[in-house]
Amino acid sequence: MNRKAAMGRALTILMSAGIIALFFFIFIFVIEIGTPDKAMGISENLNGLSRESQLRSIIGHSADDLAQAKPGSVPDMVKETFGKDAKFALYINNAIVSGAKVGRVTAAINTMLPNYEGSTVSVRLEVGS
Amino acid sequence: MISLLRNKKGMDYAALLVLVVIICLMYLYIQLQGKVNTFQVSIGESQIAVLNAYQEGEKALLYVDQSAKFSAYKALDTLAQRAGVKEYACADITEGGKKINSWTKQNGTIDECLALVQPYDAFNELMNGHMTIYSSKYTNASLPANNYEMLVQKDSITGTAISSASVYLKPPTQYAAFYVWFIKAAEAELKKAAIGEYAFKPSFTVPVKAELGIYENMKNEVKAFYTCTNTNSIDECAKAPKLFTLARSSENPDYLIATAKNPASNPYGAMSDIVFAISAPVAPAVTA
Repeated sequence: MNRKAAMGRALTILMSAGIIALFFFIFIFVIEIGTPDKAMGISENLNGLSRESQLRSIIGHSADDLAQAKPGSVPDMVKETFGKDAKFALYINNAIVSGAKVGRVTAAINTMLPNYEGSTVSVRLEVGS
Repeated sequence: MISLLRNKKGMDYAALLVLVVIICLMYLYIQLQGKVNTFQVSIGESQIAVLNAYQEGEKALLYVDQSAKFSAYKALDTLAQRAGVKEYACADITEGGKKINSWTKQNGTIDECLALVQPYDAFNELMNGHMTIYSSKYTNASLPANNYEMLVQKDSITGTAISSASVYLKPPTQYAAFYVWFIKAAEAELKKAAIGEYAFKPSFTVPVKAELGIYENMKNEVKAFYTCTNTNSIDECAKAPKLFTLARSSENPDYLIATAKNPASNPYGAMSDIVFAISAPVAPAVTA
């Protein structure tokens, strides 16, 4: 076989392989982006639930104060649990009573608490960075 | 090398190969989509719904604990105003526009009347009433009404739930909204119906000192008072009780009004004194 022809054929096959590979990667990319994730992120959710449990514990410790729309020991406990740099916002009846609006929320809890007068307050505690 | 690249011989083969690959990939994509779309439920969806429901249950229990604490103090306050009487007292009088239950009455036996003073039953009923009001205001779980059997201990009150509370199992809804072109999918998730119910017993124990034993002790002192009146004057016997003070009613002269300081203290509000009346005519007609 002519050496030049052999090199030409090899080059053509190489080019074809490259183009096929390119199409294949595009195909995988389209599949990955275009298909909704059918498996829920169990570990992510468990982490989220774990953090929610910590927030619930913090709310439980200051439930009496929160029912009176006071932050109680929530700020101290958030710093103690999530670190001194942790940002948080404590909402009571949709108004911030402690902390400041959090940019990226990593954990949050919404709950209701009763007060002695017989009414209820809605409490939201979010932590993030 | 450059001359080889410029050589168009064999390009028809490459073009054909690429065409075949494109057709194959399109076929594969269609097949894959067909299979993916047959799964209506995501893997782990129901498990996460259970875990989320558990969290909701825990939040409901926190609400129940707080409600129970407040309900206990309110019930103890009302119980003092009713003088430990469950439903109807043997008799009642009005003093200063206020109704006062009487623990005894003229022409009635002491034991018969005192049997109507049932502080534990009355407390159970009152506390269930307050718990029902609080429970009805909780919207994230279904908390049954009149659902508790109370056990009053020395330093705490335990409410054992009779029926289960329930939380709907709802799959997570927010994950699909990450991609803007899946808004429709996200909306569908939001509308997703509950896939079941998570049931739990909303029992509680709250650190409240009810001190209901004082009612029994006061009943004994009332009996001792009537025994005393058989041999001594009413005024003399009225000085004997240690748990309560006795004073003649201004509007009902045949009755004495007993006032006792409520041993239960309320950190959230006022706690009424225990006030009741006893029959004590000048010439005692009550028989033991």
